[in-house]
Amino acid sequence: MRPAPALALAALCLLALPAVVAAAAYFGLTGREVLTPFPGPGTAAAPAQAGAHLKQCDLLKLSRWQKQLCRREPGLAETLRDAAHLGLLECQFQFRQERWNCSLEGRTGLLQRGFKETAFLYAVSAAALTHALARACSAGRMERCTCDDSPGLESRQAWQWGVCGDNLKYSTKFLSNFLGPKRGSKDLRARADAHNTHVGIKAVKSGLRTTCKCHGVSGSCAVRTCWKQLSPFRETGQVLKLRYDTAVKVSSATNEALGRLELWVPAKPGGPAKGLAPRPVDLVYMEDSPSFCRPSKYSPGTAGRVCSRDTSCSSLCCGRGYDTQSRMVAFSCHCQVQWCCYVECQQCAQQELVYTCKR
Amino acid sequence: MGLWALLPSWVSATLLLALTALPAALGANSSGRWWGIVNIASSTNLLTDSKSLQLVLEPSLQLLSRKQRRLIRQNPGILHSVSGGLQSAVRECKWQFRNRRWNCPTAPGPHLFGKIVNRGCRETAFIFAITSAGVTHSVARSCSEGSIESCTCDYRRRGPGGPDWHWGGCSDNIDFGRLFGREFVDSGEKGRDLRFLMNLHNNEAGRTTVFSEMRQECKCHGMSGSCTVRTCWMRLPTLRAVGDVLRDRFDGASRVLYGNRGNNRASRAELLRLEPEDPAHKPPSPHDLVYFEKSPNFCTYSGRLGTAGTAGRACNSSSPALDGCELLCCGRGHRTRTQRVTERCNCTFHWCCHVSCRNCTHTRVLHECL
Repeated sequence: MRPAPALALAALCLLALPAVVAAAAYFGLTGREVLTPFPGPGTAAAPAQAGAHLKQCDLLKLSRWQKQLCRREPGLAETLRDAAHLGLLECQFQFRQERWNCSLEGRTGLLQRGFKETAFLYAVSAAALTHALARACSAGRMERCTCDDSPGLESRQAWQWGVCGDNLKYSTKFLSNFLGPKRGSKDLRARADAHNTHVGIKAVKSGLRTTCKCHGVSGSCAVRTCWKQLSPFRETGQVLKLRYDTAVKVSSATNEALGRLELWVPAKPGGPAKGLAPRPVDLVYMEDSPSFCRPSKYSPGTAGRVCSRDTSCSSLCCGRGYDTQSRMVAFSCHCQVQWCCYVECQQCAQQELVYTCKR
Repeated sequence: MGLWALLPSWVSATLLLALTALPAALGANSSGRWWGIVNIASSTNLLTDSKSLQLVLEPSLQLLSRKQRRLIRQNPGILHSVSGGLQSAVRECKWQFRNRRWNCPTAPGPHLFGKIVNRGCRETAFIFAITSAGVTHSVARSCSEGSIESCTCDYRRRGPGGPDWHWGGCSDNIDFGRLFGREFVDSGEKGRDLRFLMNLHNNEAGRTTVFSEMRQECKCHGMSGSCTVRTCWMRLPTLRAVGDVLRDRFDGASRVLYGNRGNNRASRAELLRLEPEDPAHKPPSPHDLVYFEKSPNFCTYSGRLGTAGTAGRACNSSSPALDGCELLCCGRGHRTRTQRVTERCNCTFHWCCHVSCRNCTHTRVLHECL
């Protein structure tokens, strides 16, 4: 009995908690990530690290089926942690000016409801996993996949020139197995979560583009080598944020021909009389979101949040108003180049106003 | 010991109790009493001397203090201006807060804004600022219109103002408006505690905003519209512009406490100072609004607090901002109903001369807070 995709991605959303803690503990305040080089097959250190990924798989919150896949593939555990981190950072960036700013506080309560924010979490987590896995293939951190081997792109020549296309095909195929079968639970919530997961994966697919490089005498384009490359994950995040802003509210309807539940967008007053099925690119939700203004089990509230006076204080502070603080900021000014060769600057101080929401 | 020992103890206790209670009672009743004259009916063409004016309007003027009545007698025609300014301030307040939980409700009678003015919250700060600004604005404009006998345009602005322009026209007399506004509005504040300091500060913030928003306007003169000579004058802002600034000050209002200067007793004015409750916050400037109490909950009706609640308010179900149903209805939910509306449409002009229209019917969706 394989679990529903909802449970899998819910675990992935919660995966960010230990990842962030581990990252903070390991790197202190720098926040930089060091990519651990993959030990080669003949390295002397290989025996010591043989069972490392097995322990990492056990630490993650995965289902039994997923743990089997994780143990079978060294490097997947690391990729899962990278994906959780990538998804969290992107979510917090896209919602940095909103009342719900993708904080880890209240995440558990949020995942149990059918809000728009829950839909975005499922989509961005699936997108991050797809993205991280495709990059892990091209980086050589996975044993069972390599560079993108699309036949039409003359991959052998690309390999000769040292370029490696991101392997999105393997990534999506692996994820469909990892996240569970398409025919999951018949629950409306599970169907919505599966739908939002596919929206996230589709957003990564739409960002795949072909990059070319010219070779030849004096840079002429006598020979051109092309390979597939994923767009930066920031662009995928922007696409999903637009999907979030235009998400549609759904309810359940029985497909009489097939005899199963399907997602259904109720008819709006004044619009067409019949409801519609949501488009494959639409995020779907079932419940209207709370205001996220006050502390609740879904969010810590907006008290004390930094806002921009002209643009975001009005909606971010929920009418409670904002406080103004004044602080001195030091910066370099009057920089000059001294021969030879260094840059010399003076230190200037400037008063800066910071606006925070009232409590 | 002293004279107190000669009196019976019950006399001393009663006298002390009376002395303690009296200033508070006086203070609570005097703030904003003059707002009751908002409903005075007056005519611009009324040209009466001071005595007959006082006789005709005697009942309404009882809401004013003695100093305020004297100011009105000394400036014939200014009562209409003050009343008009107050009405404009009320309209502006309702406009600026039309999408908020507290939407500046008013009531007929002397207690124009209700019990909210007895609290030291942000809403009270805005009320005092906008009413003071409204009076200042209206009086300054009436000076330029010639409605008030004791003031005119600001003729101090005369002569060359710059290398290629000079003062002319009729500059709005903001100085008279501010001076009269301060004398008239602030004379209702009798007291020394934090509430009166707050009211005086917010009154001045309203007047200062009108002053700081004044703009210079110019007109070109010369052959064929060339700009050989330019004439400039100072013009009042619209009250809408003043309201926008004050509403932003309302959102960024500073919560204050008494500022204790310690041993400096030589300067009494310095002793009464407003300092931010949180030392990390910026001290309030003369332009900022100040308050010292948290706002009450405007979500539900409360006779004791004087709040009307948001039940029945119209809201926007698709907006995440303050006018959205989630925020305006305080999470209680909203009801949706449809309304059939018939409007005139496709109007055409026929020569000569009538306009014919068709009647179009469409459905409008309304949302109301539960």
